[in-house]
Amino acid sequence: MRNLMMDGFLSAIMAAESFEGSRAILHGPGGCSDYSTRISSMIVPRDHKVIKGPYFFNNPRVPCTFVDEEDYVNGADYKVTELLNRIDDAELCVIVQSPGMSLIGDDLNGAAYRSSFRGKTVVIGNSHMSEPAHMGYDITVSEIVKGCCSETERKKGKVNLIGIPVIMHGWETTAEELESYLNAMSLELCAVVGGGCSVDQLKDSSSAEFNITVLPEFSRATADAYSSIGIPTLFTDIPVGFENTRKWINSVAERAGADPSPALDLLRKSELRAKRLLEGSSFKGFSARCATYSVNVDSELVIPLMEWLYRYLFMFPESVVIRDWWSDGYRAKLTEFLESINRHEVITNDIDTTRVDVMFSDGISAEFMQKKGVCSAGIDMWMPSMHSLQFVEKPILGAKGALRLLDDIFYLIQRGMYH
Amino acid sequence: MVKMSNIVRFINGFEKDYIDWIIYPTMLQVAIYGKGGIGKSTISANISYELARRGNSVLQIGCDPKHDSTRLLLEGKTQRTVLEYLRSVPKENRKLEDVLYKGSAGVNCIEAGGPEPGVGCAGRGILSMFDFLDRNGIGEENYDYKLYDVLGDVVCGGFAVPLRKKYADAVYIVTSGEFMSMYAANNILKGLLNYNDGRPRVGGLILNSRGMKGEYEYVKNFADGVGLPIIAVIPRDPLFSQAESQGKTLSELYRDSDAFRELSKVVDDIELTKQDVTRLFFPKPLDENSMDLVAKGIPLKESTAMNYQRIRNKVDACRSLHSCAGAGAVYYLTWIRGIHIIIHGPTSCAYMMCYLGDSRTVERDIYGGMESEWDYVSCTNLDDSSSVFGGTEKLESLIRERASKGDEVIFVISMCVPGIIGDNITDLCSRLSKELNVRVVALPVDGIGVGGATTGRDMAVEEIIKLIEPCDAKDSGLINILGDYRSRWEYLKFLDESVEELLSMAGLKVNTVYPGKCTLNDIRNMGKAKIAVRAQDDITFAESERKMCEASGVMMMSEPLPRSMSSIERWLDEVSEINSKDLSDVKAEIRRRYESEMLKIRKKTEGKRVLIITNPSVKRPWMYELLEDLGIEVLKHRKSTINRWILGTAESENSKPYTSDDTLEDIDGLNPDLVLTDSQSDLYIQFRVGVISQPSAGLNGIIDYAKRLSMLFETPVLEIWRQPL
Repeated sequence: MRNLMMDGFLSAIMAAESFEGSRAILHGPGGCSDYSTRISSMIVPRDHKVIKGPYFFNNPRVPCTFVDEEDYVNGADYKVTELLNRIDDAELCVIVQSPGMSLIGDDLNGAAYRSSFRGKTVVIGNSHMSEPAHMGYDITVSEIVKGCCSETERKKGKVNLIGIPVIMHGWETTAEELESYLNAMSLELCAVVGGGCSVDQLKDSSSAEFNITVLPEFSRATADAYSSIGIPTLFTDIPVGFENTRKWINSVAERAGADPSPALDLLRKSELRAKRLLEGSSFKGFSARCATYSVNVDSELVIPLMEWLYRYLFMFPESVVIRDWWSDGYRAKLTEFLESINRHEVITNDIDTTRVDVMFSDGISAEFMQKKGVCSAGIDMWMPSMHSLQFVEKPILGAKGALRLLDDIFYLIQRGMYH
Repeated sequence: MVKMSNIVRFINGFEKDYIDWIIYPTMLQVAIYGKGGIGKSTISANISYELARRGNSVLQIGCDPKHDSTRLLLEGKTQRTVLEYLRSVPKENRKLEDVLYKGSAGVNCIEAGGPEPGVGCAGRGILSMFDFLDRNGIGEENYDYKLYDVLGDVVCGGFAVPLRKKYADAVYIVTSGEFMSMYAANNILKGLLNYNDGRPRVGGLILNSRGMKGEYEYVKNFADGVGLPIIAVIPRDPLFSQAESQGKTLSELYRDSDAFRELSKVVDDIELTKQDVTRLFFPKPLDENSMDLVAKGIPLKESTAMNYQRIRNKVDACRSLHSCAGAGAVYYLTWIRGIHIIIHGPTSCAYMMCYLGDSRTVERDIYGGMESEWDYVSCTNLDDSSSVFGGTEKLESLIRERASKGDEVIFVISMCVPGIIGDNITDLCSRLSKELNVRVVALPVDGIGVGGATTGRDMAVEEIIKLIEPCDAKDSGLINILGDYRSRWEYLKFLDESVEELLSMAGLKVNTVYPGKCTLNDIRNMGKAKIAVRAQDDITFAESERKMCEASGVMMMSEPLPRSMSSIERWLDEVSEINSKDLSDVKAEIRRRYESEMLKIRKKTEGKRVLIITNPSVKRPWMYELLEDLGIEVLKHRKSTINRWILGTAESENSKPYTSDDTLEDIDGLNPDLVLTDSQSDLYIQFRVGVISQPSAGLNGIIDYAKRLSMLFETPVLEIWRQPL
């Protein structure tokens, strides 16, 4: 099976890069920095600043200590100090260690202490190598929250969004859409923590009444960090598809004691557009009914996605990749859903060989399987993607995500690639 | 209580929370260090017991893989270690209380544990333990004292964790009159110097007597040299072993003994330190000469402290390594279909190495069959636990799995983590080769351990060469191409066809393309061809290409695949000579087509002026010829900076780096129409810049390149998107 998934080490760097006004610093070899330098500019675009000389070498993002084999023997914490001395454009520096350097035990807090950098520094103690991406991401965000937020007076009506990782396609679009619902309910968004907020917004997040999760697996450690400063977190449905987005809005409204109607009206506009297009197309014979699909996504959004595809379009799963890190409860829920639609064999079907109409997976696998003829269309849901530069975002959550997924599914149907 | 004068002495340079802590200390963290077998665990347990008996809440953390630090506090029983716990309990189910045991007098006990001797990394184990404790709220527990009982010497960063600012406020060093224990004590002071944050942190020495004659004077000489007091002189007393045989501390059983009275002095000192941390001392380790005097028992004079300097590496363009040998080896092996590659390292290494390869496959599957890199590559996915306990078990299981799936040749490439923890992949591969009757090849490049991508590539090539089968019957119509001439994209196939047309016109057929997608059989059959040609002229490839030809007994052509008109002619002449075939008509036809195309392009380029900046490892004779044929003047050719891993330390470190600042100066001074560079980062220069790659080989490649080059002169200096919004 193709299993080209980002791990916790790389996602930790991306989590650190997600904060505007922050710099991720890689304490590790130059070979490890190449990918993160390249990818962070693509998924979290920011004003471009070329910094010459050591540690940067003209790379705008993720400066690196370029450790070598001698540093593995002698330690290289002084390089972190020297690197921090060169930084004058960030309020926050997050030091992430490569898997190799995490074994050496350099005193990075001491290195930061000895530097002239006067902003905040957060050291991520573990490299999170080979751990699932969400774990490295969530823990890094939680460490940043612990380092930058302190208990303060909470203000009613102010909320944070957590669990919108920048490694998810269309994170900016999703954050904007969810913020528009919050605003429609007269709630004020302090920060999308770990989803592109600035360091100032992060500090302000301490005054929120509560947090709202989007992808729960990217939220748990962050929620714990907020809990320690007295901010509770509302874990609610993942807003995949219109129905779940409605549930998300209603849960938030109920928790905040707000009127959900204006937000639901916004959602309805998108839903109505989809409905009208589907009605028009079904008149021409386009329908996704009984189309088959497989899912290979490194997230807990798999079940709500499958539920939505079944309920909204009558699409049937043929295979799904089970993630090692899914809890027993999550697996049981998946089995329950599959049994409810008489598709219990889906779990054992091999995604590499099970022919389906649509495959929802990471972008490279999607195109790969499409070319290989395993699926008629592969839908790019997750990193790594062939489209590393997404000028038009490809969201997967919220109403815009639903419209985008429908767009991709019906492009295939319109081309008559199945039936 | 701490004296105000002492506070004033410390106030400058420290943050407010430290000053607050000096005045209102809530907890004191104490690390007990010393040579292995010196008695640290016994002394630690006695101190913890007595502190607790005096009404303090105490936590003792044993940081030694042999995990016997807390035994005397737990009635002789050993407790579950943190590392064993981390290994067996899933992350989501882990709780602090599962590894926190209550001992005598209410002392709370934790043991780190560690890997089996000779495998894994015990230092990483200590790091993992502290990470677990921090994450699970050890900081929220209210203790008056935390005691860290740490393994022997400060052997690596892991065992130095308790020395960090965040942990030990006070360090006490146990020593005896034996020289090696003082040597270890001196090393501990050096370790402390490395973690120096400007605060005094050494409590003093504890002399655990061996009963040697003149032992006290011997240690006193050392203590004076390093400027530390001897807090207590603990006698060699059989009561220790009597207490131990009952699984208890001497402090609990023999309170009226001399040994207890001495141990109490340490406890008193710790309690006083908690009241006034300014009474601690700065570390002043001795230099080698002074230690020699200590060994000989010669009294030290004053000011013997060493001028200690850490080994430091420079980070600059010449010295720094921008790639990894592991990636170089993997890259060169993934071209060959029919071998299986195991990346022995974390998932992130495999992800970064295969991501680009897979993108290429999706863009254009040259070999056919739509095979993902992942069909040929697997990874041991080493995690934190493997880094503590070793990763060879995982590796062995993966090799066995691949062998059972029918792989004939398996390459194992080690990354940084197994290199650091010392996984012996060479012996493992050799053993499994014999046992499984499969060729299992170890490439212990250890990530960056042996250097950069070129080193890894060379090591891989050395092994690939061994796969070539000897062949005496050479076919003069066959040619090996060393390097891939084929384009990444389907729509650029016309460029490949140009090379194929040239080969065909010369009466040659491709035998093997490597490195380029090929099969294991193609590699084995490399010896069938009579001649080989390099796809490009790159000095970093030269040695491995030479070895490959030597191993296959194939004649290497002097010209690489041609990328200029004159080299096409020379190349055809060489083929003509080797195979005794007249190719003059072919030459004339290609020359006619070339000149006709150049005439059209030259109208746009005649009289233009360029500044060139290139990496010196790649020769570009084609470039001067093409520029001349297009009527373009070369104002200057600068060599960009290249690192020591390619050119060798002396040559690279002696050369002055050429930076983008120099480029800007050149632009001002020379006033070129265009800067041609092979460095992507020069694209950020606010000038008309073109990136030189190289023409694809063959006539179509040269013409296509010339057309694109001519377009660069027609562009405005800056695209609109580059201008400020």
